[in-house]
Amino acid sequence: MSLKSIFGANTMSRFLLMRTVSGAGLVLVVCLATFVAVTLLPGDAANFVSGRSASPERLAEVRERLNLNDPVAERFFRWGLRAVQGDLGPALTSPRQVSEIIAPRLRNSLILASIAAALLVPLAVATGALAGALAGGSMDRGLSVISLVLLSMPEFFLGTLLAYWLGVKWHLFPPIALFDAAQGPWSNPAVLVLPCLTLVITNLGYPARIIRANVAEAMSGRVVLTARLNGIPERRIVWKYALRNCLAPGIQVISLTLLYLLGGIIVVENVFQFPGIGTLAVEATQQRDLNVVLGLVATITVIYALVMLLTDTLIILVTPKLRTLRF
Amino acid sequence: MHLRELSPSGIVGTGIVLGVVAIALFGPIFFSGSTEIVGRPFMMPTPGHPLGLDGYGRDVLTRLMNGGLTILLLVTATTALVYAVGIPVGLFTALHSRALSASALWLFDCLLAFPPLLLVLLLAASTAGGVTAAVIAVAASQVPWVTRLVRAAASEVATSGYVDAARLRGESTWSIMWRELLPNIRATMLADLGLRITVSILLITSASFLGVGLRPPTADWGLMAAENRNGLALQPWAVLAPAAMIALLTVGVNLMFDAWPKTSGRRHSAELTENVA
Repeated sequence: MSLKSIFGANTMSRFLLMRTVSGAGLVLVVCLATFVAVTLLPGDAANFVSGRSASPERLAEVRERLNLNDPVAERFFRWGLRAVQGDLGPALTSPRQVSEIIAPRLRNSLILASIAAALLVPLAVATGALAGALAGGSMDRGLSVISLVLLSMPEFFLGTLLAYWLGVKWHLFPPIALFDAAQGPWSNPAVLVLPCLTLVITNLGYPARIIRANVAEAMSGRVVLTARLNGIPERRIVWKYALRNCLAPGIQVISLTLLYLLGGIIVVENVFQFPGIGTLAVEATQQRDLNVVLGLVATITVIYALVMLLTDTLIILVTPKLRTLRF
Repeated sequence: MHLRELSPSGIVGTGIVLGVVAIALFGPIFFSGSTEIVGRPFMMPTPGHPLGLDGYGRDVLTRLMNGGLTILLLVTATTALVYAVGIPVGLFTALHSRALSASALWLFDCLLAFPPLLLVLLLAASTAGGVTAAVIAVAASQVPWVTRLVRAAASEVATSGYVDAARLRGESTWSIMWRELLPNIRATMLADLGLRITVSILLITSASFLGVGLRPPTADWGLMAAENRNGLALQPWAVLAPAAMIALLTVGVNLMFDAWPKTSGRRHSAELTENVA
């Protein structure tokens, strides 16, 4: 049975199927690479669990319990089968399961990232459109320098600066995000303000610049010229004509920004000691709890793959040329 | 390139970079004793210690003057490693789009699925940690971008007449890569260089900040910002001063390189960079 007979001539669903398969392949390869890297260590997990002075009998017992004597391929296969069902195995440095440890931390990080993204995206589109519509003017040049400064700002610098000014000096918001990881940030929403602000400011520059470049290009194109000659008001031209023409690159850059946000969150969480996956990643690294590290890599890769798939879908939906293209 | 061709922000950026690099290079000559304990932990600034003392009672100014050299060295090593891998692979895959090239590119794409800092943490967790792990991980997260950029730029050049002519002359792939392709994508590479250096600085210092790479008591701006964070309320300078030095460096580098393509490079190369990055 060919693909065509399953999905008909609908090129879009076929394209999306291809992207899903390649996304799943990517997740598989990244997990396998991480699994192998973690497995081939000098001194296996049993050493970490039982400590340096453990007796050979104790080591053998731990190895047996963690199934470390089985071949790597078999262990990866078994780990993968359970991971698909949401079970990432036991943690090495705590009696809990990896999934139990990651789940509340992931929720906290996703809350932080979603609020930051909800502020970031409209702000980036608005500043990008403004600068692009006034391309070459003093406003555009000013915004260009500001966005360049923002995008080169290290998260930990801006984070500590805000924590000191708004947190320590003016007592406006808590400079450290202290809350129970299991309860989540809603028990004290004020802790979200400074981490969100840091994420929004440091991630704003890049998408704003790309959107500016695309809007500026569209504004000098024939579509906009025709609209101007028809006497359509300038504001409407920017929003209806110029912005619409850079929807696809806009979605692309916004999805890239969301992925950067996921990376930036690691530093920002550590600046504010926010109990999310970023602080968990650093804790697990310091304690060398490789099962937690592996679980985090798997989780984050799945999120990456999902964001990319969503991006591709949206781009096809908004680009008529691609919707009918044959793949 | 002449100084007067630069935009005002480019001149400011160049000035900042020269200043920070001068401090990093010459600071250690004039200020010694970065690990000496001279007083009470987190002492506020006094005339003798204009930036106060850190969490162990060491002079912040002395440590600040000594903490830039490591960053310059690590960033140089990282950026060199990125180009040492990215340029040959990118050039080769532009000339040969066979299975070998395709699999190399696909492998690099897998690296892009990691947030760079997660890659740094993963490598640190699975090895003994240390500086080498940090440099390799940061380089590995950047190599895919450089490879894509080199490949995109070189593919355009690869279809031109003089490359065909070189092929017909019987020149080797190696010689075409270095003598025909590389000189013609120089402008694109230069336009991208600033971004690469900035990202290298940001990732290397973030790695130090997260406790991966350099170890205390090394004086290093990223490490200083991390180890004195607990004293932010007592002595903010111990955290803000080193963090500000890194921020000045990254902002300066970006302002400086942003002024380059407008004055000396081709507009086309700037566009290509924006699309690939």
